Amino acid sequence: MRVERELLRGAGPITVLRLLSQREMYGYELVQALARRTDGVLAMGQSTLYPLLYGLEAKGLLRGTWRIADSGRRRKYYGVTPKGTLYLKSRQVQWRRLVAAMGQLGLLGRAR
Amino acid sequence: MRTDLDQLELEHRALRRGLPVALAAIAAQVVAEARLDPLRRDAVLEELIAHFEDGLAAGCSIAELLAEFGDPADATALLAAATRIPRSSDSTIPPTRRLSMLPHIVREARFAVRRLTKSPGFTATAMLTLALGIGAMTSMFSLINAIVLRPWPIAAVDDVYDLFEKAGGTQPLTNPDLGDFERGTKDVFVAVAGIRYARAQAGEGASTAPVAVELVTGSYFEIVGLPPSFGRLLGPGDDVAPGGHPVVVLGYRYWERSFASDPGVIGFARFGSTAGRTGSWAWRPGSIKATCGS
Repeated sequence: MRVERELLRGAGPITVLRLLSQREMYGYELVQALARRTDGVLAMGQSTLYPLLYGLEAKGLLRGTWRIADSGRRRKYYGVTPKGTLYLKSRQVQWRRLVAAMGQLGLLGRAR
Repeated sequence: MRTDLDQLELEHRALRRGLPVALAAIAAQVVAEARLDPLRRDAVLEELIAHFEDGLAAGCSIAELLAEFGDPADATALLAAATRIPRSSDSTIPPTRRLSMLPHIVREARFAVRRLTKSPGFTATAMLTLALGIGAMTSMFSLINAIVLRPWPIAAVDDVYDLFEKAGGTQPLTNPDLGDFERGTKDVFVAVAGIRYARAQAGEGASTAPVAVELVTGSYFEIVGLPPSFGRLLGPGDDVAPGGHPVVVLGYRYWERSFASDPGVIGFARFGSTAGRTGSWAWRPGSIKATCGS
């Protein structure tokens, strides 16, 4: 099950940054990792993923490098920049607060 | 029309890479409709092709890949928005693609030339308009730069006044009037100097050339307040008897150009006669002192 686009818009950047902070990946790998590690909830198609990557790259949060993949084909690997790491940390704090607040309201299945 | 042509070209490129028609078409459509600049367009297409290649290699069907892709219209809008963000460094474009863009640039240039030659009247008018516009703007800027932007080479420029006599129009002061004015305003002005612009012939022997000169009174350099590079400047002591103190101060650039910055030029000049707004100077060894100021 995928979440609605409006919800994903806020979660997309931090999700991608989080995955790429663990290791550099190219587009297809990233799509697979998103689908696999979030049970498809945060899966993104190319139509969403690549514009998101270009946006983050333009803001200096990601850095893309073309190099030869294990398949022998040239692929663009994305990695998180120091600026991206700082951004990720600040967003993580905000997400924790958001999730805690939603939990207090019983939206996460824990009624007060 | 242009987008359609771009899309066809991009689709052919994707097909040449071995993509099935349906996948090549969607990649080309999204990239073409996003109207990216040529370098980024090629890089984005390359990444979309790579994605489909990986999907096919992983055993996905065309239908699955199309379904995973998402809405092409969304992709177009998001791509256009994302690539409008100003970037500090453009790693979107692989180095090899940057080099391979040359044929595209040449092709675009040839297309532009063909279009222009098809309507020579329009082209000529446009070029003439541009030439006139650029020429006019350049002249205007030169004038503004000379009058407004470039500061005067005067130490205390805010304390200097340009005086004219106003009698039936603006007229410069005559030499006797200047003397009267100087004597009558000793408690107002620190110094008063007269300047007269003239043209003269300067050179050595037969090789003379026209130069623009200023005939100035003794207090001129006291007002300008700039130190000489070599030798000395004019002073009030050089302005006692009419024609009795023919001292020359060379402009720094003139000194560089005509004397190759030779400091030996000091004491090397003879001042010729001046008549009306023209005069003749001859550079030759002599006893008359010449000075060189910046």
